[in-house]
Amino acid sequence: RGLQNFISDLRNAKSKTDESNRVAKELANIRAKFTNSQSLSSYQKKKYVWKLVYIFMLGYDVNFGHAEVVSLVGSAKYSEKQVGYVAMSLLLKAGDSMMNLVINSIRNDLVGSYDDAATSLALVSIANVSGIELMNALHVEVQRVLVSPNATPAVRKKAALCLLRLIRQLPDSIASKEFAEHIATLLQDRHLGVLTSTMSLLIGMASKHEMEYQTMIPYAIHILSSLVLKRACGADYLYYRTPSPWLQIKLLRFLQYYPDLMSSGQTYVPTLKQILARILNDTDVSDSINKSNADHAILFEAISTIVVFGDNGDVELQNAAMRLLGKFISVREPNIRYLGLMTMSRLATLHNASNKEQIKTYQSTVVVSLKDADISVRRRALDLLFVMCDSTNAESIVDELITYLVAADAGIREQMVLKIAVLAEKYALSKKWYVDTILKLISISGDQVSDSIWHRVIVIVTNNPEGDLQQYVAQTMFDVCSSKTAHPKAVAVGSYVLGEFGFLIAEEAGKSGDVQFKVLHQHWAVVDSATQGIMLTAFAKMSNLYAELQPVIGPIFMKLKTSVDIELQQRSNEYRILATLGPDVMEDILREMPAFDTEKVSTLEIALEQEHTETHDKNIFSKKKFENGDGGSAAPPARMVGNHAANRPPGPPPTEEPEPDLLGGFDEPEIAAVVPPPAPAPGSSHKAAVGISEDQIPAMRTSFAKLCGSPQGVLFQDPHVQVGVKSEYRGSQGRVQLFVGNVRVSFSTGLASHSYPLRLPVVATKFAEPLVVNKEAFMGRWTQLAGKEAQEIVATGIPGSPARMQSVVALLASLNLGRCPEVDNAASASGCGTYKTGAKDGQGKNISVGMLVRIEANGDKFRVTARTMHQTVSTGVKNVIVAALKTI
Amino acid sequence: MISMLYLMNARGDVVISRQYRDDVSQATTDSFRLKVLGAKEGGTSAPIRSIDSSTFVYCRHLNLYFVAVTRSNVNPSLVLEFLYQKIRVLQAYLGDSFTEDKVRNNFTLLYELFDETMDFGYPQNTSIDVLKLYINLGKQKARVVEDQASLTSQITGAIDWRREGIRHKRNEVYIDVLESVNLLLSQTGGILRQEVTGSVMMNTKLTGMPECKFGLNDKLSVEKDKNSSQAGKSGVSIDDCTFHRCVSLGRFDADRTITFIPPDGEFELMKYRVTENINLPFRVIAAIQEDGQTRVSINVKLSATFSEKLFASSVVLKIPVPENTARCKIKTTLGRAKYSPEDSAILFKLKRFQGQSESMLSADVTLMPTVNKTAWSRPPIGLDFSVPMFTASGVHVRFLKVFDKSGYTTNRWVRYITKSGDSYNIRI
Repeated sequence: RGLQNFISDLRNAKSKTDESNRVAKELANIRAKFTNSQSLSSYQKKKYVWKLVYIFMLGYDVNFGHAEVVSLVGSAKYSEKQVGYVAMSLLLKAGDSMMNLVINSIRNDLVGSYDDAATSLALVSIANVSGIELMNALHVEVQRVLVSPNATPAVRKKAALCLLRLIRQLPDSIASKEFAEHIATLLQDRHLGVLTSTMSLLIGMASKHEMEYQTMIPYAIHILSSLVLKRACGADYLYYRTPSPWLQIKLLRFLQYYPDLMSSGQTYVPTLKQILARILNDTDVSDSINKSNADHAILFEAISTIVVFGDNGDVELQNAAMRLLGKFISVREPNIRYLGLMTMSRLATLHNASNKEQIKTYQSTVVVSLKDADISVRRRALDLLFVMCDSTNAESIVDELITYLVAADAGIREQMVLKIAVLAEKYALSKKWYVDTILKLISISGDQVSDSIWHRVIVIVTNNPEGDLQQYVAQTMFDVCSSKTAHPKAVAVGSYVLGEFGFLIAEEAGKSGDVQFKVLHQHWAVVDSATQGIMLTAFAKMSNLYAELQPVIGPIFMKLKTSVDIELQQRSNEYRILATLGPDVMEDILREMPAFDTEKVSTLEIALEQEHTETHDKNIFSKKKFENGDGGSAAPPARMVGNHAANRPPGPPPTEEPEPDLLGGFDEPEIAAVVPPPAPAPGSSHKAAVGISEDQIPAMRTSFAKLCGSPQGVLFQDPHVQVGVKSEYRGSQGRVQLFVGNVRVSFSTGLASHSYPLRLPVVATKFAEPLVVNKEAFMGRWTQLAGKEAQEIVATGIPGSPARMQSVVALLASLNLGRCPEVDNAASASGCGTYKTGAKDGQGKNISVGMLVRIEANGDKFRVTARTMHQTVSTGVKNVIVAALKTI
Repeated sequence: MISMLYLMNARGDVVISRQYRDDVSQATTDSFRLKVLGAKEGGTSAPIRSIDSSTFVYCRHLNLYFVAVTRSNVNPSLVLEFLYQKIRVLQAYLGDSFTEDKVRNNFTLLYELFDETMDFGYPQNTSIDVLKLYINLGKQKARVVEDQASLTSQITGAIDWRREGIRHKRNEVYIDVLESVNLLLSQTGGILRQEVTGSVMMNTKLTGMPECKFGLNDKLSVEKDKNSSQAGKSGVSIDDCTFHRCVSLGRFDADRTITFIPPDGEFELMKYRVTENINLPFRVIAAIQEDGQTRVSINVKLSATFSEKLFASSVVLKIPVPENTARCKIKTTLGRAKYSPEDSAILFKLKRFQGQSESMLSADVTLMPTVNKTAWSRPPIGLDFSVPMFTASGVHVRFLKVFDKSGYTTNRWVRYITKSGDSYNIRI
């Protein structure tokens, strides 16, 4: 009664604060009661523990009273024990110190007690509390209870389920081999409840170690046959006249773990066939909804089993299943239709010619489902259409899908577009048809067309110069872009295509270069900046081809010289300067793009693949798919040549070709380091600028050389300012911080502008990682790289000495170069390292360049030799060392 | 300036709205409802929100939101002050806790007030007394017939807060000096923060247009009068103060006298803040000791430092105890104390506490052992009190002189009261 009052108080609380005040009061009361010296009555103890449980369930922190809970668990009375167990499974967490106290009482209940109720309580709470210690301590007992001969069915059921929970957390707690025997005994139990629980356990274990439990198959088939064929089932387990549907489903699901069962030639194979045939034939649409639900569940599980057996399985059964599914996908009931479509698309993945033909007969039915009101049904229908598509019916299916796309809602469009694109590519009869299809997609649902789809079109067009494909595409794109309302995506494709292949149609009337330009330029204002970039490239190519366009296009580049968009700004500047470099360079750079290199799997399919893993159920199918490696689609190898990773942007600006003059070397640190400090930009007011005085330069050299070997220090100092540098490098990336400090308190610049062109100490060796190698390796590499060396002799003017050689060695270490001591003598030092770049190689890994260095001393001179895989790196490394040597 | 003003209830319905400029639409109320009320942030949301280039400045009175919408760069404190004044005006007309229904029932009055207090988004006369002259609730027909000329000069004149021709049988002035003390003491008794905020409230019932002169014992004015009778006593140094707008600031700047023609009725003459030389009314000495895991012993001595002629009322000392307190055995020499689990503290209450007296509390607290052992954070002891006829800052009214042409005599009444502020804490 006290509990009820308390709960109704809390329910009637007007606000959150009211409630927490009431809880605080009650907690205080319970604390007072629990600390009271005279012991509480059984009733009170239960009442307060219930209250704690309730408070805990409301989300308040309960951090006391555990001792009382433990004492209740250990009590002999059932009513107290029950409260104790409930409170324990809620309040106690894994890892609580109280846990150890409870474990003993639980163990007593599990093993020592002859009371079923107590044992059951213990099992249930073990399953719920979890926690490694508890499991480690008790899983042996649970197993013992499960197999003990005098346990009642109720206890056995609970023990099986409890054990299932345990092995999910501790998969290795059970020795599978020995335990299989126990399971076999359990499977011979006559009690269907025990069987159902045991099957759950078995499935849980078989999903981890299937081979160990192979011996269980005969038992499972035996049970299944008695249920299906003999309908031997107690009245308790008849669900609307279906004998224990849950058990049947579990048995079937268990069998699905063994896909090559059918071909194993065991004696039980005919029985299994018989069972499956019976399930397929005997299932009718029933008047009772519950009955038909149960029956259909079994049926679909059976079909799943047939699908899993796949090509090893019986063709008869597959055909029968197919016929049945054909019936299902035409019924009105959406649930059945959904399942029918899903199962059929699984069935369609089997490599079975007759299957394929059969499925095709349902094409029109599936298309009807595509227009269903329920989106999940539509999705399944789409999946199925995708799977059933092959070269013979591709055109009709794609046409059908495109027609439907017009009416489809946003939820399904994206998936549809992707699937249409893949199908169109995979089964294209002609490339023109493919291009037309994609263009249609763009015009109907351009927003859902991802970049990779249209990139792919361009890859294919570029890689197929034979025939008139390119001309055809150019013409089509010209027509599409002529319309003022062309979709931005279409404009992007058009820009690229006309830029590349526009000259193929330039001869035709009304499609000359300047008309093409106008057609594209009318869209300029409405497209996004990425498309504008592609357009710029197209314009550059046009101005190269048609001299008459140069006066029109030049101003566009001029105007964008100061664009906010950095990409547009860069492109326009580059193209503008390109024109000044002379016609040869320009022509060379603005030539047609070479064919893209090809890869086997289109990224579109990869994208689709990812979706598949989400949509399929996780069970056996995803597992199977994983093994097959090519997904549920089981597609024949792509027919179209020129597949390529489509995520590469199709219109790379020509900057990718090396143009060191334009780039000024800022992209590549090692080059930046080699070039002398850049002079102030010509044309600026540099005559008036106060700069670095001549006498500063030696000091600057020294500090620069020092910074080459250390992460931080002063780079420059004069009477006015001090510039410090701090840098960090990891692999191919570096971070450089500059600190500029005033030396003087007040400093008036007057009218003179100050400019200090400083060279940052970002040099090749900063990106190096030291390597220590032995003599053989060093000498081997050294001779290998003989052709790519850079050498210089430095005269320092200071006579050589052993101490001086020491400092040379230290210098090499500070430049991130490892030593190879065996090669060295008193007058030489060697270094070895790896130069980490950010550039990617063919496999997408960062390229690293090995580098070897030798410094030989001769009197006051040093000869510095650097050999690496690349001449540029060699020179860079050599320059750094030379600069550093001058300062020691 | 303000483009629209409206009242919204907690559900987001517009109760009444007035549009002063047409650069916002009614639809903006929707975005306010969705973004601000819909966010359910309770009291935590900022009072100014910009949504889609409209700025919403709002405040709340009971369940009504007063929202001002603007698209220009207004002075937010002006808008907020206007909104609060608007609430005061409505309180004067509809009662202190006016509700949505009250507003709906008097919507004609509301529109009159909306129009009178603001024009084209610029605040106009918001003085309650003056508004009451022209705008009355339907029944009261106490309107004085005035000629047009005096009305204009009244509203636009120098003294728009007081109309001419007020008559009182007895001329009286009530002055209340209210102070609240905020304090934070460290464990060792060092002062970490102390502050007194005070306000001088006035209720005037004076005839005609009297000019008043008011003096406190603050340092500036005391030093100025050094050669007068007050010489020798040092004044209180006031950190900063603000005045009601009736005070002529020019005179204050020139010779530090507070001169004003008061509005009729109740108003707040000035506000001030003092942070030095504060007379704390109470001293608390606390010894709180944790003995092992399960016991805490508490000894607290509270003594009143003010004069024994005075007494403090409703003194509540809030002594924190750990969350897992099971039982408390409390003994006090004066007053009552009990454990309050809601606050996880012992509340020690003294209804009436005479100056110079003291009370002791000793408590034995038994704790319940907990599973996860976290140290007790030892929050500070809090103190609530109010002491009449005592000012913690030492401020008192030196004089109030009333000059009127008719030369009547005025009765003056002065009260002082000091209360604990929002935080009067002693760390333990």
